[in-house]
Amino acid sequence: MRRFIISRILQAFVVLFCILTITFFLTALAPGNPFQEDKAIPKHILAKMDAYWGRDKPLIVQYAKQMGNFARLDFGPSFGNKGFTVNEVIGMAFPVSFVIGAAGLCIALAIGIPVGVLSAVKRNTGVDYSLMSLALIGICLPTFVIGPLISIAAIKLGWIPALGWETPWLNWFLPALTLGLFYGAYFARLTRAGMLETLSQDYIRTARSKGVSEVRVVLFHALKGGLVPVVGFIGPAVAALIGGSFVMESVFQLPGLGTHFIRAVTNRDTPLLLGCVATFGLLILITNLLSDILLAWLNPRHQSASDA
Amino acid sequence: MMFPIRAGLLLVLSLTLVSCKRESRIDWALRNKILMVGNGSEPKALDPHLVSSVGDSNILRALFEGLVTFHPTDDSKNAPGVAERWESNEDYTVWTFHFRDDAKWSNGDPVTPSNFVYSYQRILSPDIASPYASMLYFLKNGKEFNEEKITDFSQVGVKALDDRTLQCTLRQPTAFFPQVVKHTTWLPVHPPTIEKFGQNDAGLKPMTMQFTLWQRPGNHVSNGAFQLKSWVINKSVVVERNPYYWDAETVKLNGIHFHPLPNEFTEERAYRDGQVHYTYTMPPNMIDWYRRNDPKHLRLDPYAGVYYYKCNLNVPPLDNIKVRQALAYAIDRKKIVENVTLGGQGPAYALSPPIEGLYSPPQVVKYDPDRARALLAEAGYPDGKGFPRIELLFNTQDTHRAIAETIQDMWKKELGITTIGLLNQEWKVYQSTLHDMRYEMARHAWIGDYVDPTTFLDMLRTGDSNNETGWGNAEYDQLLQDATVAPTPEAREKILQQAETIAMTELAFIPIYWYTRTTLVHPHMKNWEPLLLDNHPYKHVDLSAE
Repeated sequence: MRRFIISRILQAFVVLFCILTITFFLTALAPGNPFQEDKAIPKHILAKMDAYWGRDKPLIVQYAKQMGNFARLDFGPSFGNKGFTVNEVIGMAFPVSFVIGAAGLCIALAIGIPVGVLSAVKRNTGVDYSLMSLALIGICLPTFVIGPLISIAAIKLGWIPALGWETPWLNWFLPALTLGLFYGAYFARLTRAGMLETLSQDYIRTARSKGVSEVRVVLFHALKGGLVPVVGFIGPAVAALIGGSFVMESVFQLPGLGTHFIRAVTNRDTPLLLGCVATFGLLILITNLLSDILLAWLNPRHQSASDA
Repeated sequence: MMFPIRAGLLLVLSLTLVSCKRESRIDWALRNKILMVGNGSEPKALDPHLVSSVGDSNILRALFEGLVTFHPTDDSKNAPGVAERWESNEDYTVWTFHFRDDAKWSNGDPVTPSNFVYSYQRILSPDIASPYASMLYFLKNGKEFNEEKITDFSQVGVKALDDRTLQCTLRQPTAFFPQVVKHTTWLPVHPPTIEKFGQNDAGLKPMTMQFTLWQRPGNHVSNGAFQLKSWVINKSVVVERNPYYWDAETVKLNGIHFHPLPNEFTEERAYRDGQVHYTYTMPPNMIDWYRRNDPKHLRLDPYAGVYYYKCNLNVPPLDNIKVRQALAYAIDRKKIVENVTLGGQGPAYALSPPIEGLYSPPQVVKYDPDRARALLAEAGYPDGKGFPRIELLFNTQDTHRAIAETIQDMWKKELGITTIGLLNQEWKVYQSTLHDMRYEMARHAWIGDYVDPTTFLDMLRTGDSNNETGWGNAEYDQLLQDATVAPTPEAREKILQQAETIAMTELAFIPIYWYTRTTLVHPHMKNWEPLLLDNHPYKHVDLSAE
């Protein structure tokens, strides 16, 4: 197991290095100057700005500087948010994305797993068909459709703020619910598939023949194996959930990480973009690693396959 | 017995939840006198010398005060700011500002003329690379200092005569100079704060350091009606009353929350949810709904801005004046403002919008498809035959596309031109294409910096950095120069009209419409009158349920 974890961490760093390199050069090759504005800025002022931020240096020097920054986990100042470093910008935004993502994940699991289990148990009945149809609708409706609908409903009801981050203890709920409904639909279908496979296994038949109650069979014998597909999906899903979503942040006006990601691209704010890419990359790598470890625990065959 | 009790409690709890609506943000704001503003994008900085956008200026106007400040009901008038009075010499080339003795920074320090000299040196210093330093080119040698042609700042036309008097010597006569100094770029900064946070190991002058911590809450020192309380990126900039402000008695609000709400649909929902009193803009397709259902919230105010198409004169056939005229005369602007932009905009037949009591633009351009066809035939393209392929550039946005498609269709129907394509580019790419003149035709817009037609007409001067069309006309340049020494305002207006007639005959810039500000304004907001530049002095704004 230790060898498996160490090798995955080493792979992760190589992947992250490649991602950052590609991002840097793609941004550098993109047309447009980060300091140009709608009203033309005189050429001599632009040249001064470029010099100030080191953009006049050869590309390879700029690249080495950015990689040095990454090695020290200090991405330097942001071009677009004057007066803030990239670390500060991410430090402000990440907790918001994390809270929304974690809450969204909890809602998704709370909805998805029971629905999936129930569907599998009531396979090919009216209950199964209606739950899976609902799940399919949930998957097909993107968050930018569900989000505004939920937000408009909140305006009509007036119970909690429809958007914003002025009262975080109330504001987290609607975006988390939107994410939860979307991912919950996925989890439901994956749980159902996993459960169906597990419920047809020999050991389940053995348990039933020994007279174990159906509830016990489902919850204690089948569920662990039935969750394998969910756990496989959870790695990238968690990264996407807590890495921030531009759409969700725009719909609910949240000061999260997703907005910075998009703004860094449109503003050509290379340091911030690399900071966001590194954060997101690290998140994906960590959550994938955790999900692999969890999979190995749920299903020892997976571990031996990975070790080999 | 337990079940009915529990069920009863649950029912009471549910009913309480349903019936007791939370106190809305609007009610909370009214109770606490906090104005909540939708303010477009996240500010790039809270430093008057490093910004150039309208949203950033809105915040800085609350934090800082210049020599002269905005009038709450008429922005062609000037209200005293740090200077309690001002006067000029006879030919408007030397202006003297007399400081009030109670003007203070938010840390209690007095605001002095030397603070302004320091600030003007800072923004004009090439090393700080201020994006809008050109606004200070009004000062004698301001341009030369900014372009490093001179290095001694004492040669620039600004001087502290004593600790109550500031003198500005100008490049040319400027009767409207008090209008100019109201602009964000002319706001002062607190020198000791800039120096303290500008210290660095690289041996750079603290004054010109761009990236310092002075803009942070706790460090930020300002001299306006409000001071910085907090700044959370993509959430809000919060300002609170400045206890040291000289006119604190006039200030009605206890604070202002500026929320970046770049998505107009989200902003409209934020307004409906009572999160903001005032929106930065609104979705054009909702204007009609508000007009019919909720007109007391809708505001369509005139706004000093013009939307136009630029022609690159280095590219044939746009180098031919008749082609440009044909294209301009074939545009039915009324149709565009009534069916596409929808916000009560005015069809623009000149570049500068009319300014009441100051300037009426000449009516040279008109919608005349017959003449347009004749001109195109004279140019050698009868019914559009043989017209080379050109692209009309715009930045990616639905409204720009809709306008471009409408005009493309007009050119096709009226002139038979089928070879004008549409090219949309992402914002930064569009900017570099435009500024490097790698375009053929491009949409652009200009918002006035001060209430005077020259804020529009100056950019058409030969070689102006915002001209970017290759157009230049010596007579036009001379007329603008002559206008500076015109003996009376009427004579000046006539000269400027002559100049604009030349520009609107040669049509390197084809005007489309004059802006309006389409916003939602909550009825609680008082003293928020329509202003041509939309620069509202926040100290007069009040919140009241009456």
